[in-house]
Amino acid sequence: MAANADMDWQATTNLGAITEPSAPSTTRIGGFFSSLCGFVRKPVYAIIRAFRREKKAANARNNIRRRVPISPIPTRERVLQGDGDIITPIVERKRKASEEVGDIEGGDIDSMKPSKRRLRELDTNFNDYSPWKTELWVQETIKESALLPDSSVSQEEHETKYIAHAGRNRSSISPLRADTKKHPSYRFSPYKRTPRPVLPKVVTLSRAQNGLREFLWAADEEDEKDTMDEETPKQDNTAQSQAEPVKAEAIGAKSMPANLARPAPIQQKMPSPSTTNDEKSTEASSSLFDEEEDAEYRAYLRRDHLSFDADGYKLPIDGWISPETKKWNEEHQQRLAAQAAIEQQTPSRPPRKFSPDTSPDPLQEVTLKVKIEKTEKTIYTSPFVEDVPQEEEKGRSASPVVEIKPEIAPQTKSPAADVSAVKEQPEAIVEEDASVLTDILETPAKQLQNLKISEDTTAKEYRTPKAGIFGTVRTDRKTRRQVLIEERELEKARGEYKLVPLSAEWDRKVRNAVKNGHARWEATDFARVVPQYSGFGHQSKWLNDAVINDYIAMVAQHGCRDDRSTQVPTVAALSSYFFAKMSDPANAPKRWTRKIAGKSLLECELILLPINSGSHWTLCTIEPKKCKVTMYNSMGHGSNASHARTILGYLKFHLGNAFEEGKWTVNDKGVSPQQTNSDDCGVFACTTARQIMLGQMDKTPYTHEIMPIARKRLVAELVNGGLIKADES
Amino acid sequence: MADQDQSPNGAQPEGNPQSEHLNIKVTDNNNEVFFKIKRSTKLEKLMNAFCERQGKDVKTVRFLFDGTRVTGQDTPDILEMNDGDTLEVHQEQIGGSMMVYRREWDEV
Repeated sequence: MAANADMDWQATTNLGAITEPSAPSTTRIGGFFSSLCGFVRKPVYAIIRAFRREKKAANARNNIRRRVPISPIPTRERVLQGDGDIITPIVERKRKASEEVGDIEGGDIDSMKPSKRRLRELDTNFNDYSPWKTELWVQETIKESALLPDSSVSQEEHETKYIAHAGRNRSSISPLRADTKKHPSYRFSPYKRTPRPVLPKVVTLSRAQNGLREFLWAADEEDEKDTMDEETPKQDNTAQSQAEPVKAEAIGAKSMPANLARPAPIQQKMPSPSTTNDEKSTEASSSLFDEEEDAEYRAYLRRDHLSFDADGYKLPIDGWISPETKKWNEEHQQRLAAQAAIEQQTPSRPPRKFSPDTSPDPLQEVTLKVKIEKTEKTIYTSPFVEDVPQEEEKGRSASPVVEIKPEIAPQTKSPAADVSAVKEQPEAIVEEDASVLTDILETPAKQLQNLKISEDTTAKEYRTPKAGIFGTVRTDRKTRRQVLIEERELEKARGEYKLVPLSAEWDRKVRNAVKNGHARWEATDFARVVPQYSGFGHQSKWLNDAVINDYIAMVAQHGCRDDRSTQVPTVAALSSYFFAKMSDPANAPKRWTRKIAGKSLLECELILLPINSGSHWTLCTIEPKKCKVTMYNSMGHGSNASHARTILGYLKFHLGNAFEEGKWTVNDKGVSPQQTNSDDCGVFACTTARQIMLGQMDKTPYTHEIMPIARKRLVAELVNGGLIKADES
Repeated sequence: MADQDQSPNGAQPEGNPQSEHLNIKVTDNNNEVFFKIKRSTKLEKLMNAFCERQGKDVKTVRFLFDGTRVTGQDTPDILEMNDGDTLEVHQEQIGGSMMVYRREWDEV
């Protein structure tokens, strides 16, 4: 590099012939520059030195000394006086900090600020929803809402306000200002986000304009009056028909049975004689308000309904019938009448029954017929007949239309037709009915015949009562405890908690829990148990301690469900973290085993201890009453024996003198179903614990085939907070 | 029993029984950190603080009080904690089988 540089330099400077190219050239250059720098440096330094000297002199003149930190000398007196200056600032700071926090390393949690990362996590949308922004927005909206026109505020007042506002904010007024909004710089401004409401223009009318408006109004009113006068005589004829829907509504609103929604047998076109002239006149005056139109409008509002009577008539809604429905009902009646007429001509075919309530029981029909014949108002045979008030029926029978067309209307569903229908029905049906009837009649007798004394189920097993105070008879009584134990034995025998597949409902719950987590279990915990239900492709099928510990604790809780509160638990569960503590029994945390402390452990029937070692789950059960320690391993190999030894060592320490050496037995190869893959050992540990607690392990051991079901059940039972019975799952 | 006497009892006064603040020891076998915390503060805060300190992920760590897992929603009041109680921190335990390890051995 140096040589190259030299060559270049030679080429450019062309300083004549050089015999030794490398070394002398460099010295020459260095000398040249150093001499040049020396020339410059000397005067510069001289200047600096002079400046410093002058400054020093100035300081001396002004009595300013060089600032040097001087700590006060810690004399004995000063220390005794407690002079604050003695303590160095660092020590002081430490003392203060310790006072605040209470000499604690970790610090005060409540006064601790969250870290920046945490803050970022907490509010990702800080800018969008920050409080200052919302407050700004609120203030602005309040300001502007006050300026909006209000009915209570007079126009003048509003105008002044508006003008004042416009003066303040010209962008809403000036077109020039408004154009600036199109400028690209405005696009990125924060003001764009809060659009201002468009204020309505204030219309001020001149006096002349006002006068004109009043004049026009007056003219309009006069016109209206004229038209009204013309219309009134015309409306007299149609008044009643127009008033009808309103009337119907008024009646229906009170307490009108459903059948009255139907039209009268045939439409009454004649005005009823009861309507007097006075009523007509009132109606005429009220008909300024177009009732028909209004009724139609209402009908439109309520929408035409589609709920039908048993006979096919449309029913009123809330006792109100729209004119359309009324019309429809009339048409329907005519249709039915026509149908009935056709059927009468061809009597071979039985009439169709609309009402499902009319039972095939002939007795009932007969009674119905009798009733109807008595009243002689045989228009409808629907079950509503009895509800119809008599007055209405009278009116109907009295109406002339019935007399005019007696063939059509009443015979649609006359009792005669019904009876004939019954007669015309094929004989088989009648026979069937008869057989059913006879069956019903004979059944008690048959039952009596079939009854045997030996099979008497009504007699209960009454236990002999307690012997009284003066009683001499001693009876064998059972305590509640004994009864309970018997019940549990029965439960075991029945196998109520069998491992059966889950129902669809529970399956759905499991799916939901795996996707979203449940209570203290996160979705990732459950996704290990039922990986096919989590939405994240490949998942680890290995269970973690969160699920296993909680499940085994739940199993233990199930075992303790009959315990008294003060009792040593029948079944106890230990955390999987406890096994690591067992190797050093002297330092094992005693509070973890509070409930089974010391000798009270011997009152316990079963202790479940999941063990995690070498990423493999196994289960250890301790049965203190039987003095047994059993290891259940679903893989069939491993360091079970050494684990058992540690546990025995711990028990020896824990029980102290109560530990009897010869009694305790260790079975490090408990009979457990074996897994066929490398994922299921956690599930095996859980299921084994469950079955042991239920006492089902010896009777009906499960197999590896049940694992998919067991995995789902594991989640389901954790979600349920208790074991699920076979018939409930 | 001596053990039962040691057990925390809310009714028994210990120095200042209803003091608002508690000093809680959080141990990680290697480290011991003391935290001062209100009785009504959720332990989530403490857990996050500890994990941030130790550079751990909260999800892979279990906080145990008397052998039972503590969730973030628990408070010292709920757990009936006393002054000077310890929370133990353990690493998450996962297990499937030993087969994987054996395979590895075979390969080696």
